[in-house]
Amino acid sequence: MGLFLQLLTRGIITGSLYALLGVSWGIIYNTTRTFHFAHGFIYTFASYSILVFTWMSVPLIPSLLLGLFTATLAGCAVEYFAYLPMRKKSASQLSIFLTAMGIMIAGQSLIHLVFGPDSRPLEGFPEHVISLGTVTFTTVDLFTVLLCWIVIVCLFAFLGHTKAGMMIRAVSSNPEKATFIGIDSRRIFVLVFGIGSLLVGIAAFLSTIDKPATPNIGLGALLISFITVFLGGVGRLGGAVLGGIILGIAESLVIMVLPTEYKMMVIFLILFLVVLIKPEGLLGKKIA
Amino acid sequence: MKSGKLIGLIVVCVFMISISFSFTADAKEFKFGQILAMTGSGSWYGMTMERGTGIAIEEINAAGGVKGYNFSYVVEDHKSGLTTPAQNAFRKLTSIDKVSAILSSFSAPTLSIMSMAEQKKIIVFNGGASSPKLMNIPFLHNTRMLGDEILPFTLKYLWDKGYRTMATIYANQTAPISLNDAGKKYWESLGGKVVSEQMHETGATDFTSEASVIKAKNPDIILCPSTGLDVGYVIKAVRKMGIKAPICGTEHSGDMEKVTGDASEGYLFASEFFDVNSDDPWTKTFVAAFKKKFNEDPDFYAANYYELTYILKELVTRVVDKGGDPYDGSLLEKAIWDNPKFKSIYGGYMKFKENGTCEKPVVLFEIKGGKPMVIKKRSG
Repeated sequence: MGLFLQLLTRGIITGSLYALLGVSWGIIYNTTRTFHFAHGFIYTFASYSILVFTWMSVPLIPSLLLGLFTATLAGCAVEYFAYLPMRKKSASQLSIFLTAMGIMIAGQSLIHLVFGPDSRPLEGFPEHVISLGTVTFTTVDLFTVLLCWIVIVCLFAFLGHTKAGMMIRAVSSNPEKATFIGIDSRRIFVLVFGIGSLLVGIAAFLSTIDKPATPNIGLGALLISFITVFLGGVGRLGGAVLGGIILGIAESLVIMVLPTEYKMMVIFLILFLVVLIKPEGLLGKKIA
Repeated sequence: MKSGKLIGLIVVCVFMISISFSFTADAKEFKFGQILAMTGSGSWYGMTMERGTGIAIEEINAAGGVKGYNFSYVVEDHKSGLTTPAQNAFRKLTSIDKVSAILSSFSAPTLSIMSMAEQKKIIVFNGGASSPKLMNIPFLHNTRMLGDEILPFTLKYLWDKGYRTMATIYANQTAPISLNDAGKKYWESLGGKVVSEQMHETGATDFTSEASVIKAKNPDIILCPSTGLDVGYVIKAVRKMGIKAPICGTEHSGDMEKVTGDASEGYLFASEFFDVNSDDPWTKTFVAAFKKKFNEDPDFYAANYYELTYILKELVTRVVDKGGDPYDGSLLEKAIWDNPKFKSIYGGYMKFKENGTCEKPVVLFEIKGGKPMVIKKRSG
């Protein structure tokens, strides 16, 4: 029982981060239907931006804010300078996907070239072990869970109770009708890329205070981001949250029955089974 | 039109002349290959190994080369232990760069190229990998002590301290798997018990679930024979779970503390002892040159690849003295057995054994204050 509780706790910690990653990619995909492969690059870019500011002796919190700002700008720039012109020329989804992949690979290589392959830790966040009975976690874990859920709740509040949020939901559910009622979908697209990049920047920060950054951290984050969205259900941001939690807990608990190296296999198996049985995802709506 | 043809002709002539010059230069150059971990979780190893080779090359060429040959190398990346990039690198090095000798690292990449090396008669030296599977392979010579020779030294030390149960966690790679087997067998031969065994994915960064399982088993010690930063992430996760049992392994990469912070304090590993404070004149020269160039002391990986470059120098000298071509790998291989004793950067001489290994001084290190400190020397 002790081991189960410990692994469940680990699953919730990891799942919270996965849920944040999921909503960061989900808000972009649900609204724009762009398979934003470059999201992984934005994740890496955010980590290194925060690190660069700390190397310039800027304190941690201002470094975080500046890093998030630059990551948000980078996300908007990708939409404005790469995807938008392609959509204007009626480029196919495949062309946009290939462009996104190019940005991801080129961006990752550039970071590798500038900063080298070394691991870059983000120092300054206090880490202490906390034990509650048989369950052990750290202050970094606690902070991760709290911040992830605060950010997710804020996002849902923003989408549900602000004019901009409602416009995003309108474009997301029916872009053509949204245009008829005067919503500029292009501006909304840029906005959701900004929001998604801000959220993935927060996830990158939480990850970097725990583990050092390397130029290739983005790919894993990207994989988790879109797996959670497709698992939970495209078009439903709550689905991404559910997908993240399920993945995190499954990844952690699987160790009780299978060797740890099968973690990734289990994740893809879960996705495969869900897509096979319910192609629209756990919370997704059936399209007639 | 005429002037256009004339310009074209000049361009072609210049091109041909430049090519002929480059071929002339290549003829007096001994180029060898290196297949190292230049990217990925073990990139630190590639960086320090290449530094060692680089210093040796600079010294050899500054002294006028070897029998009219200037030394140079081409480095290729096996991406921290992947076999396909290693095999592609081998094909490139042997078919395009035409090398006859390769310095390799990591067990799986090294093993993956050896059948091709034997076929093409390319001599391969390993100064970094430690899997026991690297023994008795034609054309492969190891100047690093292999894991099954040094791991018992660490385990015996812990056994003598009174520890009796062990948990192991190791990467799904050739060396960690074979080292885990060797460690487990040795521990059980002492009378100890292995309470948990977990194989992890190479390059993973979150081992907290695995550490949770270890915690539930409450072992006296933890063995982690993984490589690169994997070891650091394992140590970090184990300490994060509040486990205080001693952790031992077979590797310590210089960038490990970037991952662990002070969690690596007390980590134990045995390895060759490259003494930077040695009185040996050659060691002193190397340490001074390394320090001058990189502003830090060399580790034993840098020392091994520095030493290997000088072993190649000696082999080229022997082959050329006999009127042979140093681009013939079989002649380089044969030259080893003319006299398998070579000057060692560790002081004195080292001797290649017929099973492809060698003997070097071994010590047990413990991380203290973020640095490996010698706590015990192996006698005999």
